[in-house]
Amino acid sequence: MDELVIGICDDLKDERAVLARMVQAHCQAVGQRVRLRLFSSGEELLETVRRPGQLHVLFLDIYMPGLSGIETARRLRERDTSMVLIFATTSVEHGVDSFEVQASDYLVKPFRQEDVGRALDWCLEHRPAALRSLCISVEWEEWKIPLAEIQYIEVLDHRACIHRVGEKDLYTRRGLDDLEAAVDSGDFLRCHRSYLVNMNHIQALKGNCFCMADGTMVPIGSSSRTKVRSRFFDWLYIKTRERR
Amino acid sequence: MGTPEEGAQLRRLLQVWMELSCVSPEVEVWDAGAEPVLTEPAILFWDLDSGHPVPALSWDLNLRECALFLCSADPRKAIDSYALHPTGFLTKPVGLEALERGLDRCVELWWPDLGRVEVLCERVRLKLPLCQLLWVESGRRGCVLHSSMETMTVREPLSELEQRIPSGVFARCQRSFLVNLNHVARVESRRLYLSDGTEIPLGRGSKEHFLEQWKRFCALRKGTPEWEGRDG
Repeated sequence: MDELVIGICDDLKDERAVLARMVQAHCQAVGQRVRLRLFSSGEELLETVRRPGQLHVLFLDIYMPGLSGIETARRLRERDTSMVLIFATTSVEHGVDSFEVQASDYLVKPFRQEDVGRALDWCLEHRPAALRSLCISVEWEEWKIPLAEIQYIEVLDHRACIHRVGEKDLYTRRGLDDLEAAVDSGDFLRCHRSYLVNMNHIQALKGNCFCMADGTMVPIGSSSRTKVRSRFFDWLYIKTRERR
Repeated sequence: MGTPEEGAQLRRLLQVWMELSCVSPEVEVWDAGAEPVLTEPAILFWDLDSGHPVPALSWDLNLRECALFLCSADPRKAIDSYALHPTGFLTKPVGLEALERGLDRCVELWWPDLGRVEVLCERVRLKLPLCQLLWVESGRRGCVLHSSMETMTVREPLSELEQRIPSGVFARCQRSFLVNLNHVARVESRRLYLSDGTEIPLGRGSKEHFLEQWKRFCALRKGTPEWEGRDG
């Protein structure tokens, strides 16, 4: 990932500033590019962050006027299950609740620079697949493409074409087997000898094709039809269960 | 777990979950001080109140290769448990709903042990997870299976299909209808409603037996004495 977008939501301006400094200092120390977004309430955060992927990591206070941090997190999880959530609060009573919203850590104020660093290091090391990137070389230029951005990869004239959401296609000389191994994500399915599809972007299964969100039809190989269909339905079932 | 009683209680609860979810993983109760029987469990429940430290784990919890659930009667231990990055924290006594929610977080680990029914649909052999099969209706030349994702027509008669699926979770509510009790939202005197709003008739001939099965199912879910006496 080129740039990590980190949100800090705290009703106290000074607390936001202190945490922002700690985050920036740590990211600078480990060489991670970062963009910070600061919010003063749960309402402001929910108003701004409406789509999955807008924030990669969020530090969230619990006691705030209006919506509490726990309630804000519950509503956020309905929109984005992959965001890394870290509570940063004076409250020690919401540890059990924090697990319900799948938090990655719980920092109790006053915390130190190394506590923030440790929490961030863990997040960076174990980032969800949706936050990982695929590194490729496009005409001698190195690209890091977030996996969430990839719709599908197709082999065309001995080159792999990476179709992205709302961005231009990218061509690379790597083979599809190699790219499939590099992607290494359960969200991707090799549905055809020449196609690797990101199941998050499949709109429907129509006959022997996957209909993608942009209307493109991706074919399913005839020899692996039963296997592909079963894997896709299992993936759907698992995702439904995880989001319950 | 801290005491043998707590271990037995969790095991019973897991068995209820397994029966209701149609999952059959191997379960081993591990005495905190003893050597583990399953050396690399996919899912580990550990009682923080046992007095024994959580063992050094040889597998990486965070690569989704296994899941760790920490349990304690003290909810304040939840924050400290983040040091181990567990999949979940369960407050004792553990309830079925909390257990279910936690296990949904590591669904990929128990998915291979999920009960399935194999059907032949349009010359394609499919293995449909039982937990996702909502209801089945008898058709002219076989039956129609309604899952949460799709509807499939198969040539097999309903009576034959019924023999291949667990009776504790699936019940015949009318001569031509079989429902998954996990998806029943409401039962009325002549019909029942599924969680997706589907209305299914409740036949006079099937009513008594269906209501018995429904009662047992509800007792299992709520943890009433009906299942307390069952062999754990």
